[in-house]
Amino acid sequence: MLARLRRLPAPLLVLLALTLVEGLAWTFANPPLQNADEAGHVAYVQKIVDAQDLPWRRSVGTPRDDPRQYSTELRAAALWSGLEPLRGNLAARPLWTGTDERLWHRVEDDLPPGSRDDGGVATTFSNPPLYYLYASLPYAATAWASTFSRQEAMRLANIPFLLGAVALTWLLAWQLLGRSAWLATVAAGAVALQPVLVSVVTGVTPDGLLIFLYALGLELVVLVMTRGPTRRLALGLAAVCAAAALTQGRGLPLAVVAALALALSWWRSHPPERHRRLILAGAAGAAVLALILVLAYVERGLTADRTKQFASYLWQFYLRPFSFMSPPIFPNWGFRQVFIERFYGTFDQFEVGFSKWLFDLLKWGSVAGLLLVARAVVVRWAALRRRWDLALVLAAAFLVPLFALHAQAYHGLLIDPGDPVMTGRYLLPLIPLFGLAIAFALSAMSRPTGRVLGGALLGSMALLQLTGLGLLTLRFYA
Amino acid sequence: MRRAAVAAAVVVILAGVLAGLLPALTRDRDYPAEIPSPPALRETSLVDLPAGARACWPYAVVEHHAGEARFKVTTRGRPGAPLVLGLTGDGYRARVAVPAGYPDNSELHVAVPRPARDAEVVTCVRNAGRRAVALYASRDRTRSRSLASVDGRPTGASVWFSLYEPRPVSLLDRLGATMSRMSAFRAGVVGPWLLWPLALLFVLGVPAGTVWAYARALRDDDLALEPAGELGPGDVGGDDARERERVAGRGDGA
Repeated sequence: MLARLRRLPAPLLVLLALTLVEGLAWTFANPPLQNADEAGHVAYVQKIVDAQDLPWRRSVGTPRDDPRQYSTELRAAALWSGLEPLRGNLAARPLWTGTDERLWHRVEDDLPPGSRDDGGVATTFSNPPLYYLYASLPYAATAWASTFSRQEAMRLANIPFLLGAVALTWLLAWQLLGRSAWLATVAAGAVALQPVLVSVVTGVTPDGLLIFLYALGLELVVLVMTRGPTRRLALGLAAVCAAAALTQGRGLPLAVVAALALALSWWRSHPPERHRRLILAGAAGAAVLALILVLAYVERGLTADRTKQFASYLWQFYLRPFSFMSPPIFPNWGFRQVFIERFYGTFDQFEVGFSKWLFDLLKWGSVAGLLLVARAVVVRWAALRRRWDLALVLAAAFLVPLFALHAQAYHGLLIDPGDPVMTGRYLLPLIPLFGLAIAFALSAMSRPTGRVLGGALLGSMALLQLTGLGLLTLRFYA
Repeated sequence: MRRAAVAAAVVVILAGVLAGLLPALTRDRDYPAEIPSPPALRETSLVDLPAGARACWPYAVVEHHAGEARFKVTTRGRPGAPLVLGLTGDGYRARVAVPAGYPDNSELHVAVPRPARDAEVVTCVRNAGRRAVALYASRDRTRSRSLASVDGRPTGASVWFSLYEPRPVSLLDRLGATMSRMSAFRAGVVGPWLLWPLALLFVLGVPAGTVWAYARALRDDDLALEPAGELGPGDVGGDDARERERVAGRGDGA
């Protein structure tokens, strides 16, 4: 084990070590039950372990704040620790004295038998079960301990996903960007230091596993494209796609990217001698048909008005509306809110966040970054053209999940216009691409410029990480 | 060139720490000692307190830094009636009069003696005047464990009640307390002994590790460029890749 670790590049080892420190720090600084839907995720695991029931179902009608979805033990713990009144409430603080803990222990000792398994139907029960089965292991292993210890064990069990995402980003950058250690360090560092990623993954949530599976899927896709569609790689990719789909509905688009990679790789290694145009036309026809079916689902029935409204929603999400466009269903929710505020610096129940000037800076920095990526595409055009299939798959790895998020968001808005659905946390499975895009933009600059800019960028990300945990500490303990 | 790249990371981090993080750490701020019952998030309730009536609630903890109690009162547009705040617990007792005349919907800040150690208390507010008032309270999911009763009748609400330090202090002044507070309602092994080194590792290790990793990666690349390298099958280029091609005599570095 140690010998294997020694074979890893030293910068990667250091990045993994600081990711571990970050993971532990966020786990212990963030009070229990404060991450998004964390109580619901705990309730799912509790149902599996304590009630011996797999509660996965297609739809759940439970209101989000209905306390009956949680077990007696979880409700009592959340009340007597002050963690339920704390959720999203800036004026509240967790109860934090030894006396408070003693009061809870008195209540805990008096809980009736069955108080762990009497929870109702939680809103999270519509999620597939893979992550919850995984989280059942640390939960069951600490079944003898208090609910807070069990929750902590589940949080800690997510840290390997964080480490995996960082290591896989390194590997991807190493493979794709000329085996350059500094570019791989920038790519993996941008992921390791992203504060929202660490904050989300260190809660009890399936998002950590999903993020890891996306990173692993992306690595397998790249291997399929560079080594050809071997049976082992194809089987591995299928297994990762199945695991992603069984972790969260948002894992489904990975299968589309994988299918595209396998098809292009097969086309490259076994170019058909006859009927090439016919095969291409068939593939294009199948893609159009699939798009129509997706639109029919998204729009709850295919109509011209809804298609127009969906297109208008997409346009207005990123750009200013034209005069002929009607306002979107959920106004003032677009690129800035999702890609900047929620992605870079909004934590827990969204009540903790960076200041407006910092978001402004991040917004213009991100726009400049996008322009630099576009510049890199132009500068690297010859290399990209040479591997157009790989470039196409990487573009699809970003665009397909993004389109799926928009499609689901629009579908959701038609049902409940009060919930924009889409949030920055949902972009986190694409975070290896975020790191890769930064490194790719730097790779197209002159070496001195790229390296200095890379240093400044890593320094900025380290600052964001410190600021994120600092804000969290002030919010809960000051 | 390598030095300039590393210096860029160091300068950004130092500038951010000096301009943003240190002031946040050292700035004096209004500091809570414990908030037994926080304000509501969505729906405000009231607990009526007629003349002479007394509202009481159990399970409030007066943390040993506390020096001021806060609660909010509505007087329905008239000058506020005199009140008496009482805190009674094991080894701690306080009884403080609040003079009449405070404005409607005001949060009252009442100085209370600092306890020698954290004390669980029963808190009571008595209306010592001749006009009714009402205490702000929660009945939604922000309701706390401390449910109030008025003259023995349960109300099903928790009165907004918080305890603050008597003077503003900084997070730096309360780092020790913060580590202890962070370890409440955690696994038994999570205590200040673990959190202190972890905090130091985080605050110093994350920036230092980032800079070191970057410097080492730049050095490794510079060393790797000396002998001929090889391009990977998925390369989409980069100066380093082109440089290796040039060194290997397979390209012109353009």
